[in-house]
Amino acid sequence: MRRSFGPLAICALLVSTVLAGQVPITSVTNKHNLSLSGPGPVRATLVNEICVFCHTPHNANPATPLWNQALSSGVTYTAYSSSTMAASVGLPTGSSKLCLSCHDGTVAIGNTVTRGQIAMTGVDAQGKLTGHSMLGPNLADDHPFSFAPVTGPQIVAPPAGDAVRLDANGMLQCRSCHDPHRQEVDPVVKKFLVKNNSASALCLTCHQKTYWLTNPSSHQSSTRAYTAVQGAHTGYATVATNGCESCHKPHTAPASTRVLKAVEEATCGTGAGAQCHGASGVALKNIVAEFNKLYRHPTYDTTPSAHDAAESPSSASYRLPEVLSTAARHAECADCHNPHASYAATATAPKGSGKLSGVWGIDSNGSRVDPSGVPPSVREYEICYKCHADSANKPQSPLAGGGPYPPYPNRVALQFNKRLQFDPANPSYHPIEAAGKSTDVPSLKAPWTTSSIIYCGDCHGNDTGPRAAPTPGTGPDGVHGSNIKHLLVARYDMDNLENDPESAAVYALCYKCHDRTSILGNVTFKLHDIHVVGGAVPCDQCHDPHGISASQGNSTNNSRLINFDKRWVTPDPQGRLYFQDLGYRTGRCYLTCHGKVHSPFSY
Amino acid sequence: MRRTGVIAVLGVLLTASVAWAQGTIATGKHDFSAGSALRNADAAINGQTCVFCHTPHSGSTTVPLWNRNTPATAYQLYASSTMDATSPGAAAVQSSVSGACLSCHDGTIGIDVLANLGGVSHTASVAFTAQGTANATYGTTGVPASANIMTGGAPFLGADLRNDHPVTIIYETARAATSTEFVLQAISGSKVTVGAVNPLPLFGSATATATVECASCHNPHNNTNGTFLRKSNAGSALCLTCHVK
Repeated sequence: MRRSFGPLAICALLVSTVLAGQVPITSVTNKHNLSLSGPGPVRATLVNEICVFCHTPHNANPATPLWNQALSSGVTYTAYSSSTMAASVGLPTGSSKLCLSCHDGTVAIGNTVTRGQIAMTGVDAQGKLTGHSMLGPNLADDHPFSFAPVTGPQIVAPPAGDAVRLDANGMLQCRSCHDPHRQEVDPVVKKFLVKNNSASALCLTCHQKTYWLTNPSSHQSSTRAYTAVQGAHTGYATVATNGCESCHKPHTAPASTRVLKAVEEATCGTGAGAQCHGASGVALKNIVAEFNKLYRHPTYDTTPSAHDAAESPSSASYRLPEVLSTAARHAECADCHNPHASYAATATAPKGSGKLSGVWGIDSNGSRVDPSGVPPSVREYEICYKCHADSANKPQSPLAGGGPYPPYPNRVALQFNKRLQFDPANPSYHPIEAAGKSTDVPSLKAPWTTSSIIYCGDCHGNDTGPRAAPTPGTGPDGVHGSNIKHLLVARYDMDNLENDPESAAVYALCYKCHDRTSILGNVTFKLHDIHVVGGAVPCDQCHDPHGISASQGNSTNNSRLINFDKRWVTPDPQGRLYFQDLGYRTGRCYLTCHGKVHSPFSY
Repeated sequence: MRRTGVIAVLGVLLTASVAWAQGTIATGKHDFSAGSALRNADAAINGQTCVFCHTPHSGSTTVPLWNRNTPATAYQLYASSTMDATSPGAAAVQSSVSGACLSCHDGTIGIDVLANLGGVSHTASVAFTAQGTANATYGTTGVPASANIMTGGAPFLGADLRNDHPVTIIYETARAATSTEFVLQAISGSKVTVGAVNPLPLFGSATATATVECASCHNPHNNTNGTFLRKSNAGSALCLTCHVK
């Protein structure tokens, strides 16, 4: 008989221990214990009952769940909205209205149906809630609620039996994430969560962001410190355990749409408490500093920008590539990086690396392409093509309808659409999409061969990064910023005509792959040395570094990336300005350059 | 001898004080005899306290020696998507222990309509006079016609019980579904209770079937704790006798 009580007693102890760990409503530390014995700051000055602030056994209003706090009335709420949300959010419904009767800050706390106004302290002069738990009538900056989730690839309904539940009408309510009675089911966050949200387990119940767990995203897996000092608001201390909330804040978010901790790219590096990729030391490298360089993607130049996460060639409201040449440009972190996917994984050109995984692009045909493979990425150039191909507002010279910056060359075949320039059907092109046209490129340094494919990022990117030349730097990789014009990884003094004698440094970009000794040794073009050294003529006056579109050139006049810059190279007296490829390492030019007429000049 | 006398006098005084503090039915809000809040002026039963609920003979078997008719009210009952207990239905409530309470508090039967007087208002509609201290209001019409039907105030529940804590629900159904949310019942003989300290009664002789009724929380004879609560609700102790939140 005595023995039989043993297991029972243990059971009871276990239950009470678990509940104690959760800090139940009866706890003196539970903030929803508004009784005299509660922890405050909001609590009653006389009443020592606990349930009465929310519940009454008789004459409740609304009846379910025996509610006692007077409901808000006449409040004009602003609902959450987002271009990427499939569900529509209306006014608060269901049990969320109960929560709002205190948390929208419009009704005095302790204003009960059955007891009238219970005297409270820790409230404002009107008896209402203040501080960070007061959401106010503006619900646009809170995770949406009172809506029926629309399930899809990235949104699932909570599994049966899960602590996260939709209400009887299938609606997500405050109650789906919060249990108003138990404060510390998540003992770190202590926000009445229905389950432990370490590594965002609660968020992931519904949000199954593609790639987040499968890559996994560095933001999912990084054990680097992200603490309250660095702006973390959860109590968790690493990037991984903060999870979604490294970037998102589910209530009173500084940036409403997508409840971000700061506006757009400020979330990544410059926002208050959101400086992971800046000088905070959360991320290994300071990317924000790259954007202080002379030449940069305009990521931090305009915030907010015209960027929207719903951008697509098929989007009516947020079309990209852009159709208006006057439209504001943007280059946000999220245009090239998917924060739910990005991770350290290498790839072979042209495939984008893990850092670029999960980002859509524009393929060689001008169509949208979505990530695939391992890492799940598009080809790197396809990301560049979102803006630098068919977008009407892409960087281009005034002659093509663009602006004066940085300046641009004025080539015979004037083209700024990189997709058209790198087309493998072209007479010549740098091998971005496919191996180059010529099989006779003796200047190539190992490991490069005529079969190689290169990245845009091999020429464009950080001048102090790993791809810098002639000496690689230790700065971050990537096309963020450079102090070299055209955002190049190495010097390429194309505009410094004749005042800048040839050296290994001046054309370091070209010499990264093309051996200087070979070039100046006149192997394929016997007059290279005379032009480049003798005349201090930059490579780009004769060569187009990108390619010549098949619609504008041909294999006779535009092989070997020949596409003269008319700012320096002018027609001969007969008005001719072209090159003729005459076969293996021979050809002739019709033009006038540095005062010398070629009419033609053959080699 | 003298000393004993003093103690005896003190004892009487103490007992009187308890009674005065509404520790018993006498002179409490449920005492309808002359001099109480709801004063009975009918000479036939004037001075009686128990008769408005109990009779020594010919009473109901559902509630022991009950002197009132069972209400036939079509109750609307509490419902919630998160309640695991099954709603009992109006008929079950009518015939339950709670039905006895509701025979006054649902406002369908005059409080002076007693079974041992043939279920009719015993004399005249002036027999009862609500005093200023009465919490409820009383009407002059009703079914059966009576001047003493409860019509309003906090004690009046009416037929709509949707905004009242559910009654006649089987406690075990709810507890079994969410065992962390409810305190386990105890059974001693045929009495089922909940709670370790000042336990509250469930109604029924087995833990699996015992129900929550009005009288689980309320003791109609003792208003010491106010609103006839069985125990002080300081710290919501009464609510938390069953609920684990």
